[in-house]
Amino acid sequence: MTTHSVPAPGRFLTFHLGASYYGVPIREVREVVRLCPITGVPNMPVHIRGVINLRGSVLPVFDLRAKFGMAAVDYDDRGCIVVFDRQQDRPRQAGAIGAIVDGVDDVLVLAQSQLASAPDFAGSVEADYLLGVGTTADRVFSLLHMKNILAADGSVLMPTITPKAAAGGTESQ
Amino acid sequence: MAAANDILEAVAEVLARLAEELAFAEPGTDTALLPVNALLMDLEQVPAGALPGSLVAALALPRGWIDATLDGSGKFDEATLQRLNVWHGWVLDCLMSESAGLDAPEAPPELTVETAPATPPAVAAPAPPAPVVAAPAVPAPSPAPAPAVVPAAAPEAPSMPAPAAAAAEAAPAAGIATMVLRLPGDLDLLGEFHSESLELLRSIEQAVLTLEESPTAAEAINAIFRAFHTFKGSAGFLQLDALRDFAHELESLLEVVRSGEVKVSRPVIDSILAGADVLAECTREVGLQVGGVNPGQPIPVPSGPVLALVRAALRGEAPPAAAPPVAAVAAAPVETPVAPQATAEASAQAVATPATAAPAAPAPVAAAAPAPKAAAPAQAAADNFVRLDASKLDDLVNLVGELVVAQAFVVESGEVRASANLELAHAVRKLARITRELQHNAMSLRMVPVGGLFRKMTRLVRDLAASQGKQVRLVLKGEDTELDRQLVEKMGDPLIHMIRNSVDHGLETAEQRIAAGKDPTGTIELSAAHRHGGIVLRVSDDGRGLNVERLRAKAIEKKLLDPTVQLDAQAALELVFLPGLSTATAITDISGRGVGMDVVRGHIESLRGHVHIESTPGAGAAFTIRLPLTLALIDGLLVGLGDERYIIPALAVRETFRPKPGGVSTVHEQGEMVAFRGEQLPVIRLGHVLRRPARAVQPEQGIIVVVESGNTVRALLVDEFLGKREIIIKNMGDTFAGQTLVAGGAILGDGSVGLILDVDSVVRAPRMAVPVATTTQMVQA
Repeated sequence: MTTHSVPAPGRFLTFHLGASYYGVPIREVREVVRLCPITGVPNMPVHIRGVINLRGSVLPVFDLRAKFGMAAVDYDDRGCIVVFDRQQDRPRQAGAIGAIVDGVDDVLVLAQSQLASAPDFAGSVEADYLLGVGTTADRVFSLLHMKNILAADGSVLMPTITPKAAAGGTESQ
Repeated sequence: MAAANDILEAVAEVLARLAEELAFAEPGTDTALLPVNALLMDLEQVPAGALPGSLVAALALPRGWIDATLDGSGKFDEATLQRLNVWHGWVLDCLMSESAGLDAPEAPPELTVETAPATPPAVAAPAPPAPVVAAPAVPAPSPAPAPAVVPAAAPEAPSMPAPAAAAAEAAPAAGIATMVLRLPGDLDLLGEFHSESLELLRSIEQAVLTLEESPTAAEAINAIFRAFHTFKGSAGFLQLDALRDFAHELESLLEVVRSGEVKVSRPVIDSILAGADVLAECTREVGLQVGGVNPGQPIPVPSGPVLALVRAALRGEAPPAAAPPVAAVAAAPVETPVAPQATAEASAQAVATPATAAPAAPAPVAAAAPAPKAAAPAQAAADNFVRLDASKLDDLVNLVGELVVAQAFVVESGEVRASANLELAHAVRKLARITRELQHNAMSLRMVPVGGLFRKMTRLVRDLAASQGKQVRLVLKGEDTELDRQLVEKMGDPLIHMIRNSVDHGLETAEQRIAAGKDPTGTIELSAAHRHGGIVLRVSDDGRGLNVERLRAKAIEKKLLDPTVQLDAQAALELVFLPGLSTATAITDISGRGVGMDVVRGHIESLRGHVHIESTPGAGAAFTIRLPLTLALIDGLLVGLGDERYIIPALAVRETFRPKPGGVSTVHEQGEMVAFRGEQLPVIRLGHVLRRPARAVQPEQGIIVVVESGNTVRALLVDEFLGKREIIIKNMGDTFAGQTLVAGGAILGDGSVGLILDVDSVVRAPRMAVPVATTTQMVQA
């Protein structure tokens, strides 16, 4: 279900995946870090890439492309991890999670007039994942509802390992 | 007079601290109120016989003012503060006169009126100094606790009715009162109250245990009395009136015990415990509400029944309230000779002085004397401790853990090792040594003896044995063994459950034991010891042992076990850990509550520990728990698998070895097995469990890590062994909450994250019947 409300104006961090442009309210973003070696965690859904060392804390990282069902690419040196505070009321690192994106572009101030509710068709991105749409002179941004996207990740359950699945475990995940 | 001089010095010191606190006090605020209250309580502990009665009375004088303040607004008023300051100056003068052997100076006029009720002749009147004291609006607290004065005066007024006992009779039979916390206004104060109360409850419990051993230990009675008194003060301060009144009643009732008029007996101890239980329940509720559970909900204080119990207990031993306490005094001398031996060494001197100097002195004086003296050094020792927020300590330990890892990175870096610079090498060695010492120190800060935890079990065993009509003796061993505070806290529930299990299922009734030719009293032994860099806790009993047949029948009945499966002896014992299995034939309120040994095992494993059972039919059962020393830093084996590295907690590892070519055989439908110390161990290829590529295709290309989980031993095949590391376990967050194979992450020396394997899950993960040929072409996700 999409709530057809218009997102509140304010600052948005914008980034891209391939040729698609996205924005998230800046207050949900803790920081942006360079792509660094990721330790893969076994038996996780394919979009959960693993964990990184964020200044001494272990931070889970997921791949936004995989989450949106987009083709995987080799990230170049523009690749970034956007760190979100999943739940603002939780202490420190506890709720943080990182999202891998192709590159971070800008911080934009979007006024009321530049914002619109999410259209009913949402391309490859599920409608629940959208807050709305932001428009500038040269671009249209899909504004992401990170809470919905991340909520789904917080409760990912392991695919149960049956002996059969384990025996067939040589196929890549 | 040496002892008296010591006491004078101690009093002078307390007075000096009181002066400091008074300097902070301001009218209309509660600043310094509690410290002043505490210091005054110290002064009231002065042994009655050691100082002249007038001085003792002078020291106790402000009690009424402070109680009125605590009971009333909870803030100092102008008049009280002024009186306190005048009193302080006067008492200092008295003290100096006393040490110089001069007569005490006259009390200043502001104080004289109040002095009267507290001086010996007037002691019979248990009336508080309230009439003169400010705050007339406050109802006078019924029996004023003028503690130091009463025992001192008792011999001089032999026909005086026991004041507190009289109060007990007069006290209304309160039912269940309630109180409401002022949240969020008092949040911080209530939090402090909660932690302080927990400490008080602990000291009550310990004192009770001492009393059980030696019922005349005046020190213990005093400790309980003080604890109730402090409860009263703090509760009054927070306007928790119901709790304050209850603590006040308890304190008043105990006064007769403290003054030696009533002997400590089983009913008295039981009633103290019952009182403490009510306080504990209220404290727990306060803690919950402070933590945000139902804030503002009225908290019931079920004081009525307990107070009735206390009164009954006192009446059972005490003469009727109206009768002179002669009987009680007569009873006292019997105990007196025991008291000095029972109390601390320090008190022996103090006892000797008044006793020899005044051999004719009535016994109660001597009996009362040792306690406060013993309490004084204890108080002084307590002053050398710092109370601090546990989370600060945890932060420190975590930071030191980081330092250890960072330091190892520097020391082991190739550049440093290759450097020919001697100074650098020297500095690095020094850094390593200091880091190690720092780590050791930081860890020791969080280490506490398990004795405290063990002693809680004493109470539990006592209650359980009584309620089941069994005779049980609890033997404690290795109480001084230290382990991480966090572990001690978390081991409470599992231990309670295991002990309940032992009393409930393990030990037989006295008749059954006699019939079996055993000592009618069953023994439960609780021991702790350091072993293999970890700690081993063991709960054993000499009962009937686990009934394997019944376990099996039960498991089959509850469809937890396939009846056709044959189990070896050890596996059959392990059935006890199956969820939902309870062997008690009758549901008791103790064990039949649905939580079982499966919860115990889960709990212990969550602490990265293991539990092992042994049982001999007819001779008893034993549960052995192995735990790491601390939760902060663990020893781990770093192993390589493909391009990845994993950490296996060293506590779960028995050995590592490289298998000989042909050493691993494939048993039909059983998978791979390897011979290890004359035993065939099933091989688990880590790559298969994790579904990750491995380099070792043949077992001899890899390394076997022999791991154990509970009673299960397995050979884990990895690619290489990369060394042993001290690592800090990092929580990976709830993204991986469903991930059972990985217990956490750790930052490795090169800054990347290593995953810590959960050996229990790895061992229990389904094993493939036939190893998959090669795994090398696997693509990494």
